[in-house]
Amino acid sequence: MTAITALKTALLAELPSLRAFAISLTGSHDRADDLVQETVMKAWAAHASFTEGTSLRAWLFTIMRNTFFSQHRKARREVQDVDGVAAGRLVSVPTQHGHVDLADFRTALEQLAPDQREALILIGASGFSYEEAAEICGCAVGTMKSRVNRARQKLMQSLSIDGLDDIGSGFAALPAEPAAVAGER
Amino acid sequence: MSDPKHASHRIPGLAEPVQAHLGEKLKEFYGSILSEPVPDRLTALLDELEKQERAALAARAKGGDE
Repeated sequence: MTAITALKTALLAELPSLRAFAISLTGSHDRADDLVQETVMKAWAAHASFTEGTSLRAWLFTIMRNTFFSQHRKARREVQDVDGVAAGRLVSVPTQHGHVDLADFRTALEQLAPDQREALILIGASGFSYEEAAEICGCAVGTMKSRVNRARQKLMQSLSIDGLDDIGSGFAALPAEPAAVAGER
Repeated sequence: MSDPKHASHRIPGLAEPVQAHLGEKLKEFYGSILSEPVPDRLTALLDELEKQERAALAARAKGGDE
């Protein structure tokens, strides 16, 4: 009986994080809440497979992304197909005094390829280490690092951050995957 | 992103202030979602799952007597 209460309490506490990750995956509040609902149901049914002492959040995020990508595999492929040219089609968001408006940032984030947005959220916002994020996404740590780097580059491009020429002149010449990252596993 | 141990993974040539600003925006974006109230249907779902689980346990306990 108490195990059920503990499970419910733990899942309740993770609902805000699950919603945030779901919104970053789906790009939509409505679809995000559907995804959270499915994730909670799957997690509840499979809670016996959770290893005590490991990160419940990481376990839940893994379930969520598996659910999302198994449903949206086709859509995801289509996004990745145009990934190479996406940056050129982005509507540049003018920034003032180098300050990025939150709404503009959100727009730029939505325009990232899903795997890059996901990597940025896991590393930059959710507080996971590269190792944990790679585990959640089922990829190599080096892959996670290059996704984060490419996500940052795309954000910079789509936000047309002012003053870049002055303070980041090396930006345009950057390789897609810096050697320091590609060399690591 | 502000974690010093990740500093070596920054893109060379990207100014620290720019990266720091983007990092702050990312956390602000994420934080704004975290602070949104959780929709009732999600908390109601957990109430329902708990109810079903207890009912299933009770049924199993009864069945065990037979």
